[in-house]
Amino acid sequence: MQVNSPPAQSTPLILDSLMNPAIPDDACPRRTMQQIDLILLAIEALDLGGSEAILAVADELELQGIIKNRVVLWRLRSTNPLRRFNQRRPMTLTEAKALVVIGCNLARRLTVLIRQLLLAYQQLSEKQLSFEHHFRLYDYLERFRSHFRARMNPKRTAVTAYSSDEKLNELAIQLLGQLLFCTGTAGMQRFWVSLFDGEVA
Amino acid sequence: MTIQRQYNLPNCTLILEGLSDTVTASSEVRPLMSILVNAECHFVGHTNPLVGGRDFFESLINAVSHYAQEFLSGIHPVAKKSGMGLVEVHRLEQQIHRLSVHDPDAKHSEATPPQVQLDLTTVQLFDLIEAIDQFFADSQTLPDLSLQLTPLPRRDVRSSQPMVKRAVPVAVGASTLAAAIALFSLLPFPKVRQPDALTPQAAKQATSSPSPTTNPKAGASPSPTASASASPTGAAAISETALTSAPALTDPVKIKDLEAGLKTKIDQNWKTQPTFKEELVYRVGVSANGDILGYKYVNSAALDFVNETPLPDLYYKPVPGSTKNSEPLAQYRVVFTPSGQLQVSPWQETAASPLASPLAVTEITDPEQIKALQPKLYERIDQSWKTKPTFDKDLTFKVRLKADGTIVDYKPMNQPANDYVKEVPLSDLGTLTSDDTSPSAEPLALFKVVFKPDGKLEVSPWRGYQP
Repeated sequence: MQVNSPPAQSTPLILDSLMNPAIPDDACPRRTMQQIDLILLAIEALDLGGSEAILAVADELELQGIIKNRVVLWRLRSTNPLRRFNQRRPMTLTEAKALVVIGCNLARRLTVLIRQLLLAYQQLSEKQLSFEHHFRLYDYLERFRSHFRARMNPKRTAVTAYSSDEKLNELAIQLLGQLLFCTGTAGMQRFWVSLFDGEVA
Repeated sequence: MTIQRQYNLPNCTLILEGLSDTVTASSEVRPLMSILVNAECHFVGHTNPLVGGRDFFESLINAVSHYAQEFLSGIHPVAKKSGMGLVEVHRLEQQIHRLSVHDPDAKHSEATPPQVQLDLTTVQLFDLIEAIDQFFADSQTLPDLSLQLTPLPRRDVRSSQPMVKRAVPVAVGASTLAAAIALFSLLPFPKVRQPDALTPQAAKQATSSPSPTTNPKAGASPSPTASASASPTGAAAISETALTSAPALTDPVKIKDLEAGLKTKIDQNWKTQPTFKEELVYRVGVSANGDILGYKYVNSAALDFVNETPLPDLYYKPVPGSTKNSEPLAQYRVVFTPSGQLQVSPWQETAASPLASPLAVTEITDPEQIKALQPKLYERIDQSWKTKPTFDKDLTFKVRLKADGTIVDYKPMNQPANDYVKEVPLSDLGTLTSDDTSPSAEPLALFKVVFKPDGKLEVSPWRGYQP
């Protein structure tokens, strides 16, 4: 028997651990795309080789069928409505799942660092010291700010809300906490479900 | 046999004590715990653990689980479910979370202060969640409790913007509109005025005088084309007022002299070849020393072709502020014909002619009478026209006829008629005239007589056939 077409690519099993939310058209809501991109941005700010790591993990988890290359990754992340070069095309649920799996995987590898930074933040806040007293935390915040400003469209109202350093630091710390939650046993599922809060009927 | 399960994390330790309801071999390493007796939750830095039964534990995992989702999505559910009020988690600051445990015995209400209050950092809270998640993942402990995660439905989500804030743009918009309405209502309503040009004045003129523009009656009444506002040159505007307001010269000798002077003056200066097809009729005012102080268009052609006449050049422009108006004027009717002839006659005379007088019956307009005269005229001309035509164009004449049929005078109306006037028999029947408006004692009928090059003769009423 001759096979004319390659067998239909089955979705990787790892994605099945994430439920399918009841959203129309298989297209992710805006907030979902935004949140996924911001979480990955926080990972990149934590880890210098973050963007390389995303591709490497995609390979490891056998998700290269979805995240084929750098360009596909870039286009997926550009679905974030806050981005400068925002892609109008929506992100499919499968693509979102793949990115969430990769993000949580990377977060788990960074667990120790994330905990350290959050503890440092806590201590500095209690003593009412500025972030400059902790080199690693300061480094993260600074890198996150520059990443955010370089990639987000400053004309967007949602972006102008983060025009000051303080606001961006707050966002960075908030994302750090969310990253910590992603590292847990059920962190991936919790994060995934939270992406659709208020979006399902 | 009591079974104890312990989930250890750096900041939080969860200890569950329970029983197995099935009889199992004690040799089993991890027997199934299906009944919860006691749950303890220890936090580093807090000496007193949270302790409770199954109600407390269920409430704890519920509240913490919901709060974790809220923390991740940043979206707060609208109403807290009142049924599970034993444990509550609130956000105090960005990274401080308050865990409150109420006394299960006391009737829970807003007023009663919670039994225990713990302020947890994000890391501590995460450790609690992680302990709970590990418990969920442990299939040998309370398998009837499992992690239930569902996204918040849309209706349970409070809008991120409070009602007051959302109402502001609406209110601002509405008040702006109201202010604009109030302001514009102060402005007067614009009056809709019909443009004057829509009602043709010519029609009004035509009803008062049914004659064409060459008729002297039209000259007697103010011509619409010569009205001050419509005139293209300032000279006309000035001259009209000069003409109407100035006193008239009365000395007949002086008038005759001025007439001759005016005629030569215009004649000498009129050098252009006429391109107009109609007579140009002007009313010209001349002062005692011979200056042309004003002129006025009598027919529309006169207005259109004014630049072909020497009148604008000859016009004496008064010094501003001078009292030229008070100077006595002699008024003349000046006619430029297409054939290059110049006619000058005193205005008073023409204006006072019976033709111009509305009271005198000057023209036979009765259709019956004209109908009767027409064949008579035809007969007479036809009988006397013996020569063979040498012209190759129609010769058109205007012929004036008395009521008894005798021809008073005739006038060539086109250039060939003027050139070949000798060829037609009209000279035997009437007198050649260049002034077809000259007064007459009795009423006259006007006819158009056309001599065709092929020998045909056409006679028709000048004003056309009346219906």
